[in-house]
Amino acid sequence: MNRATLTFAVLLALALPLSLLAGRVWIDPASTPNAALILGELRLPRALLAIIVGGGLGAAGAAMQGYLRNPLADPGLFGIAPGAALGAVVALWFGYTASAWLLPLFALIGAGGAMALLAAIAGRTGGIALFTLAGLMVASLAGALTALAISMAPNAFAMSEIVLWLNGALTDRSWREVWLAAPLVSLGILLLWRTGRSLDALTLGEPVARSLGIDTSRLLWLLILGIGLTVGASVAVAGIIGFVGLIVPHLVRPLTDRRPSQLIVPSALAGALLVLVADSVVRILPLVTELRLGIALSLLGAPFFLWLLLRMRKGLA
Amino acid sequence: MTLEARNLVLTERLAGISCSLQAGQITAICGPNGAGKSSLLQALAGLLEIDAGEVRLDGAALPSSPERARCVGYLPQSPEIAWDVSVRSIVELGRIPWRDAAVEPVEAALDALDLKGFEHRRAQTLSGGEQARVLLARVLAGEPGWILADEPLAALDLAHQAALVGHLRKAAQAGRGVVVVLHDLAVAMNHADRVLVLNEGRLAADGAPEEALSSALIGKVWGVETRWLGDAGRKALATS
Repeated sequence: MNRATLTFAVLLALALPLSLLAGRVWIDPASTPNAALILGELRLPRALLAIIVGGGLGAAGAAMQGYLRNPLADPGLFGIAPGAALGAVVALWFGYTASAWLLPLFALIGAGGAMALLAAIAGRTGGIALFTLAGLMVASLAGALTALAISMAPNAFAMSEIVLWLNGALTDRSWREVWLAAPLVSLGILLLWRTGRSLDALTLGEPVARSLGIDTSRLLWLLILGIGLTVGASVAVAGIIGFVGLIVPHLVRPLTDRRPSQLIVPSALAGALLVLVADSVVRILPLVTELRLGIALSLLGAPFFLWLLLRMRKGLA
Repeated sequence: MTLEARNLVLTERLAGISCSLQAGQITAICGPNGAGKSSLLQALAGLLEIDAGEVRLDGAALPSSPERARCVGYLPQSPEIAWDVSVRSIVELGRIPWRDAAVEPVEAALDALDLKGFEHRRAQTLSGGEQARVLLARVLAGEPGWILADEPLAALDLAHQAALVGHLRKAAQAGRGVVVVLHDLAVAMNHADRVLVLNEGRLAADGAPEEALSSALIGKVWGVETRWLGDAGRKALATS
């Protein structure tokens, strides 16, 4: 276990109990009425979901940056998150949310569709440039279709539902979402963890990686599946939560040897920590309506991104 | 130990090249820009899908990866180190084909290239000469029978060129086959045991440096009139 893994595991272990007690109503397990019920049915599933979603997005971001050898890469670039969002929007558009399973199911179908499209375009050759372009194309297509769905929403209620849902949140989630996302995200993180050795080899460029015996098309398949599962399942249960995949590897990298393989597990832990803390903060903020988690993280993420660009510009100058 | 090309064909790059390279030697591949040097090297490394012909290692077909990766180490033309990793981490990448974390070959490679004490330096702090040594150490750590390097001297100053040639010579003396693409014909003349000259995807010459790089052949292939000056092993090429 490296230093980064240990650091973020300890921080996460400290943050979890705090997050359970924090909220508009602070819970004292001894005196708050119905404390066990609130903790067991509301706060615990919500905290676990934050950990699952953040863990998946963090690991996906680390793998994505390792694969593209670019510190500005974000799992959203792959088009899987927009694909999943489109699926969910379709469910909202048709009012299929009467059954609680249908929205996440549609989102997973959307993520699967984006993955299939990516694989069909770029899977055979395994070239990184083609893959990135395919991802951007899938992302903009899904984004355009989502915008179309919003503009042609059957009624104002559906439109506001869609727009609200697109800004991810963990409000009013239950154990159902936990059971849905946990196995998918865990499997996804496992697959991404398996790409570590290949991502390390890619540090020296694609030809060297191939000369070291790395099967680049197998790597691409693992990545598409791993990112599809983690990001797709996250969007399915929480909506779009941006910037986690971009920020987290940057927080983790200085604590590691900077090898891509060393980054995946600690990034999962740090992503879980970030989303858990952010979700606790939006609960505490004294606003009339709760700030949406997706908006909060974007408010945090965009300035960070700018700071990163400024620092890189200084490095280049 | 031989690495053999049999009638390699690659559209618009290689037009039927056959040669048989010996381990324990430094073989230089020379030729004008676009002659197919890098393509031949990559084909020998098993990194290019060729249209016809085959590459054979010790009389058998070149094994497929990852087995091939243990036999043939490849150093590309423009080196790339994406992340600011440590020197030791880079050299350890050479063990990937073996799927082990063996320390001895890594230590031996660091030793061979005088990188002891450098292990914790970060990639971005390395000069061009240091980087070239680290990347060669990465290849040596994989203990391949063959080292195929594409213009390893291109970005190096004279002292670093001489040092790197010395390291390649040591690898050849240790029984490895060393194949390098070289632009500097004087380096090929003075340090290679054998020179292949490529021109427009064909083999224009194959033999000892004095034969393969005669002024007459250089005139024919490069279209430049030249004269060799100096004694054997310390020759310089004068253009007129």
